[in-house]
Parts: sequence; C-alpha cells; structure tokens
Amino acid sequence: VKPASLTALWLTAFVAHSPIIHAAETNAVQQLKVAAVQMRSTRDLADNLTRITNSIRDAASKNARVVVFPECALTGYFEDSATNVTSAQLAEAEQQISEACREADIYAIVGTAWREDGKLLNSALIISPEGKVIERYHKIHLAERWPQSGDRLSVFKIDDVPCSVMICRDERYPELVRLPVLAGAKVIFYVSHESGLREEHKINPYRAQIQARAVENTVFVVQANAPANKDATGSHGHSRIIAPDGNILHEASIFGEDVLIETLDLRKATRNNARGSLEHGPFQDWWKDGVKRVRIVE
Amino acid sequence: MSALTEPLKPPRAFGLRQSSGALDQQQPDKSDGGLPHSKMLARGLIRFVALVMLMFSALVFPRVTAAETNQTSTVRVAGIVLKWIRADKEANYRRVEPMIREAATNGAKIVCTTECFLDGYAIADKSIPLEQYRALGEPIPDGKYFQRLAALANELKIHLIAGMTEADGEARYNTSVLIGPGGQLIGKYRKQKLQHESVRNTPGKDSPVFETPYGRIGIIICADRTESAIVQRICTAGADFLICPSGGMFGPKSNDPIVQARSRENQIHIVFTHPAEFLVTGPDGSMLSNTILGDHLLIQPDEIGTGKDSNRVFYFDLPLRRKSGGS
Repeated sequence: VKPASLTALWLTAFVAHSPIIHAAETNAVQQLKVAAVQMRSTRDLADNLTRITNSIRDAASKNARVVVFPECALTGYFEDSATNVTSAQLAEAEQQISEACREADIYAIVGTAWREDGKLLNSALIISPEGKVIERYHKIHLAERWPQSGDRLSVFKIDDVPCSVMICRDERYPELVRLPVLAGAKVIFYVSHESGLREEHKINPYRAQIQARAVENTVFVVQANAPANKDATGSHGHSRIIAPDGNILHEASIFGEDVLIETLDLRKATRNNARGSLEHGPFQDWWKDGVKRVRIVE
Repeated sequence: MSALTEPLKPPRAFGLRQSSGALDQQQPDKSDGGLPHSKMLARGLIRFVALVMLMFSALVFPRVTAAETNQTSTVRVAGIVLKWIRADKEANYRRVEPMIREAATNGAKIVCTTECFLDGYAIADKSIPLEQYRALGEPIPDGKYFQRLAALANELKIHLIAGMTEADGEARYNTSVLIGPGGQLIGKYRKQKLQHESVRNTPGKDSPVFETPYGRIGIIICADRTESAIVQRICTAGADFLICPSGGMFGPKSNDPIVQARSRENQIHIVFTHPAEFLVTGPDGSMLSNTILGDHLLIQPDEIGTGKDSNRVFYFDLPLRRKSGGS
C-alpha cells in the first residue's frame, strides 16, 4: 500500500468523525484574554492586598478575562511573612480579592501562603468573577522549608476553557503539566518566584524549561514571576506568555513591575504533543491511570 | 580585494567627478589601455562636450541638476573594526578615538563602531560581578563617555553610531546611539534579540528609524540580524539603509549569508561592523565589501599593540536612495 493511499484512508476516517469534533470546537470559547502581573511584594500583607486588588481592576479595565500574580504575591515570598500570617488574615484577604473579582467581573489566580487543616501551604487561589474560590492549588515540589507539600493536580475552567496551575519548582516536573493537559487543560498558569539575579546561571535554563512545558504539550503557558530588586534580591522578572509552539509571545523586563496582556488563540492549543502519550507507545495505560488522579473542578 | 582602497575610488557613472584629476589617479586605468590615439582623442572630445553640456545645463536648469546629482550621489560610511578590551571603557574610548578621527579625515560622514565597543561587550563575561557589570552602563545622554563621543562627533562634523551598554534606571540595554554632527543625540536603538544577554540586559521594544541628510538610518545590533521579523519591522518603518554594529558570529559560514539574506529580503544595504569583520551587502544580497581581520574579537590588555591587535578603518561609499540627500 502506498503512503498516499494510507493518508487518504486516514483522512476518510477522520472526515467521517469530524462532525462531532467540529460541533465541539465551534461551541468552545476560541479566545481568552490573559494578564500576568510581575508584582514586587513586600512583607506588608495589607499593602500587597491593595496592590493586588488594584491590579485586578486594571486588568479588567483592559478587558482581560483572567489575571495572574506571582508566587506568594499576597503574603510576600519571605519565610517570616509567610509563616507569620494567620488564618484570619488570609480569610479576610481572600474575601477582599473575591470582592474585587466580583466587582470587576474577572478571574484571578493569586499566589499566597495558605493555612488549611493545620497545614501551612504554598498556594494559588483561583477566584471566579462571581467572587467564588473555585480552587486552591498547593505547590507540590517545594523549594522552601516553611510549607508542606500539596497532593493533587487540578483542572479548572476559566469561562469554558480548561486550565491548570503550577507553582515555581513544580515546573521542573513535566508530569505536573502533562497530566492536567491530558485531562483537558489548554492554558497552564505558572505562578513563580524563581531564583534571583545572584543565581543568574539559572535564568536561561528557566526560560528553556518553561518553553519546553509549552511546546511539549502544545498548550499556552502564562507566567507571573516577581521582578528583581535594585540590590539583586527578589527574583529576576522575565514573566512570560508562551505560545503552544513554544515561542515566547511576551517577556517582561528584569526589574519592572510589568503587566503582560495577550489574547490567546485557543485553536492553537491543540494539546497534540501531550495527547501522543495516550495515543501511541507502550505507556498509554500508565498515562491513562495518571490522568484519573487529576481533580476536575466543575 | 582590500576594502581599504575602496573609498578612494570615485563613484561610478558620475561623469563630473570622474574627470577630477586626483581621483582619476586612483582608478585602475583599464578603459583606455591599448586604445589607438585617435580613439582616445575622440573619447576626450566626447567627455569635453559632455562636460560643457553638463555645465551649461547646470546654468539653465539648476533645480533639475540638483535633483539628478542627489540621485546618484553617495555618502562615505566608515566601520571601525577594533578589538575589544573587556570592561574597560577608558581603554576602548582611547583606542577608538584616533580611528574615528582617521575616518573623518578620509571623508567619512557616517562612522560606526562595533557592538558595545565602549565596554568591550562585557555582557559576554558573566564572571564579571553583577554590580560591576551594571556600573558599566552609560546613562544616555548624561554619561561621561557618551559626552566625549558627542563632543568628538561635533568636532569632526560626523554622524556617529556607537555601541555601548546603556543604563536607564535599573535596566541595562545593549544600545547603539546615533549622534549627529552637532554632537546632539539623534536617537538610540536597543537590541531586541538578546539570547544569553537577557540574564542581565532588558530587550528593546522599538524598531525606530532616524532621519538624517543621507536618508533614514535603521540600526540593528548583532543577533537582531538573525531575526528576519525584527529587520523587516525596521525596514517597514522606512529605513533607507541599515547599520549593524556587531560582535558575535562572523565570517563566511556563520555570518555573511545571514546578512546577505536580510539585505535581499528587504532590498536594502547593510553595513556590518564587527571586531573581526567588515561587511557591506547590497539590496540584491551581493557582498559589496568584505574583509575578515583577525580571528578573535577580544584582546587582553597586555596584547595591545601585538599582532593579535589587528584593527582598521573600513570605508564604503553608500549610494543614497533619497533625492533629498545631503552633501
């Protein structure tokens, strides 16, 4: 059999199935406008909170549908401020962020230390335009001494778009992206406070790694990282929006509190490279088992 | 062919200037060699008549002549091919100054240095402590060496394109400034494609062109040339020719075809100046001038003046695209 006739056969099979696919695709949201805020947090929770709610309103005024903040943006990425924060303070802050989302009609993903069931966690709150906390993701692979590790991956919906989130060192574990993508995620939010300018040998590998997460899964990655401080403390900036082909659409500066905004064309987030894990090769069953462990937030 | 001799050639197809004695002596005498005396006489007569007619027409139709003159005129561009001294602004300035003077003396109106010539491309060496690197940044236009370069451009009445690390607040940029013949900052271009530099530098966002009497100058810096979209943006913005201060890959394998391709794609001249290469490519992608000078970009301070320290001013008479071109 000639390769051409094989292709024709395959195409026929594809066309036969295509009405279903087509219907599903046309009903789906095709675009998602995202904002990533490269915020410089301090140890002052009240000040961070004010700046987060202001940024939520600003992003909404630019018609973004979802706005994402860096790791521990609310509490500050400092061991002392993260460990000293109380449950009551966190609940109050979460309430105010929810209110801001409701008023501005926008989703927000906010990095913060979090207290739950007697545990201190390094988390991301995902809040809907109704002001509801639809998910709290807890960092699994820790780079800090103070938190305990999270134990689940999630896929949640921004409007109708399946998305997932990971926090900083999580990005070094490809399965934390691959599994949510196999479960449907098309956009991965990457909430980080990567090592700073003093460890600049890490900076280009950080870029390579996160580009890989996008292209190896054929999904968008939206990263909010913290900027560098003048004295080279803090992180190193370079927040990014990365296309499913792995190319960087936007990259923030090193020191600036930049805001990246982009309308994602979701038709490009085919998840093709990830789906290959389920469709070919000797580990299909193993991956199928893994996907079941991803929590789907409806 | 040595590019050094090139600027001394008269512009082709421009009768009036070709007949000037001093320039004629530099021209290889190919056209008249071996011709019968009568033919040479006839040629001389034709030239004389043409000259008289031209002079006559200049009197009668001064405006038309002015326009025609500018259409075929050129501007002399000089590239300062000079090895870097890493992270020593004073040394690099001291070394570049006499070469810029030489360029002006030889009639260059636009003079171009290499990429980050001032700090010797210190971004390449990440073992330089971060604070020391950041201190090499030059505020523009208030920086000490910017001021010295501006004073030099003013004195020599040249357009000077100089590469330096720019300090703007906390950010550092790989920048090339364009200084006018009055010593004024006409504009600056910040490199957009940073690669390894991005750990310490911020990428530029703008693709400007700069109005000069010789047309609109577009600047690209080194790796920008590998990104056809960046080059295209600057050309679309209206550049008449591109100046490329450079300091990375060079030579026939890894550089020249890239510059040629960008020229061809955008139908534009590119003047490429690098510590070890001078290259000019034409709108059809052809190499109009090309010399490799040495096999390294950097020398140590104790190698100054040794054989490794090979430097030269290269010239190219760039045809002007615009009728509004200057002198």
